[in-house]
Amino acid sequence: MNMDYLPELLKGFGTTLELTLVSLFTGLMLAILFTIVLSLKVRALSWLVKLQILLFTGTPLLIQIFLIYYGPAQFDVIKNSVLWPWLSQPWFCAMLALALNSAAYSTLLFKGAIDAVPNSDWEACMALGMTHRQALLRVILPHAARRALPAYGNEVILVMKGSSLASTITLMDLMGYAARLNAQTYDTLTVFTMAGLIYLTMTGVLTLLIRLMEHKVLAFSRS
Amino acid sequence: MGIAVQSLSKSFGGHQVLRDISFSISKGETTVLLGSSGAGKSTLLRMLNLLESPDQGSLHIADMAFSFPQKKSPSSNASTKACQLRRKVGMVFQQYHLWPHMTVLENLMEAPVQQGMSKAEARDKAMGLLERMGLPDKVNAWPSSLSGGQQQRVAIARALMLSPEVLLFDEPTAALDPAITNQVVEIINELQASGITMVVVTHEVDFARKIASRVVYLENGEIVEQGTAERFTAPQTGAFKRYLQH
Repeated sequence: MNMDYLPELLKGFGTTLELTLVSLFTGLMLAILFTIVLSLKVRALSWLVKLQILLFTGTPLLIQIFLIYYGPAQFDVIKNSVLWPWLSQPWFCAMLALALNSAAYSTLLFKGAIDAVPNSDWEACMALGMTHRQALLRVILPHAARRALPAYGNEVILVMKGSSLASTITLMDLMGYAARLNAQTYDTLTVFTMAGLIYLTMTGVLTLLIRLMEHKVLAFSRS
Repeated sequence: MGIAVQSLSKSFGGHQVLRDISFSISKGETTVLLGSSGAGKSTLLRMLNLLESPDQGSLHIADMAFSFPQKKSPSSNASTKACQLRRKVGMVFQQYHLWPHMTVLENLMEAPVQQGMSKAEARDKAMGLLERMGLPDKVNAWPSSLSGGQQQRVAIARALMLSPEVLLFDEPTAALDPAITNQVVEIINELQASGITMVVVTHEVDFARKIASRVVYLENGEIVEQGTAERFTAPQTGAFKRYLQH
């Protein structure tokens, strides 16, 4: 195996990592917001959140990335607006697509985790004279967040791997450098095996980190 | 004054589970609500801290008064009053309802700290109560690692953290084996000696005899007989007599 490819591939590593982390963070913030909207049953907003979930879980991520990157350029209104400096950048468009996609899936996870907290937790809070808000913030949400962690860990891995699709809109991430090396050398097997191994290593490290976190926050369910 | 209940009624859907319930309990007494399952005794207990809201009647408990149906005051007002009531009327659930993701100590400290007690004071009080319940070594244990009897004693300690005037028990022995039942009897009798008013729901006659200073016997949502603990040896109605025999 030709190790000379490695430094070239690793040039894209930083972009992949940055794209993954920023998308995850943005997606997480949106998901928390969406979950609160759904939990409080704000009528019009709930409807919008449900539509967002339908669209972003119901279509391929690649189509979402293409539409967000190529779509706005068709409208002069958007091209002349303050958003254009952002929407004309492939990095921002890929981040936005990944974040919205992740927000849709994470919202479903979080809402499910809150609904799965047994009613007995609520009753115990009420019987000790807590207000609804105190119960939700101090007992129910911390319990739900712990229960949601294993499933959210999978979402983290999916976003990291999904970020490779950003190379299709000219972004030079790990996959982008791999595609360019392949075009230059036609050494397809070696180039993509090495790129695959780098992704595999990242998955391994992330899985390990998530497992450590689970071990800590889910200690209560092991005894 | 302890607890006074006047003409309480409650229906779920079209089914009336409690009908015209009236009784009063003096401070410091231990009253058993006895009856077979479906008699409405748990629903009645849950009304005493407003986990269930009566359709009609009035309730005086821990120096607070409620009448039903409640006036159309702002609902936040009614729920604030219910919160205040529950801080004075503790409850121990049949399935304990400990929060599984918190340690024993965290379970005990959560509510009092939220309600303004300092952490140091709450910790001292929790340690004292766990000592009294015979669980000083379980401070940092997870609820799921404890036996049923231990979980129940933690639940009792958690309710006592708020120094309630009244303590409600829902079927405290239903999920425990007979040997552990005697521990519960000892704890309830010890609490009675400390002057707390208790209301205990059970369907077990032997357990009821060991703790009760008063008994209220229910059948099909109505009070059939009530009186002092002497009623266990001298029942006044045929229905209660039959119940005591099986």
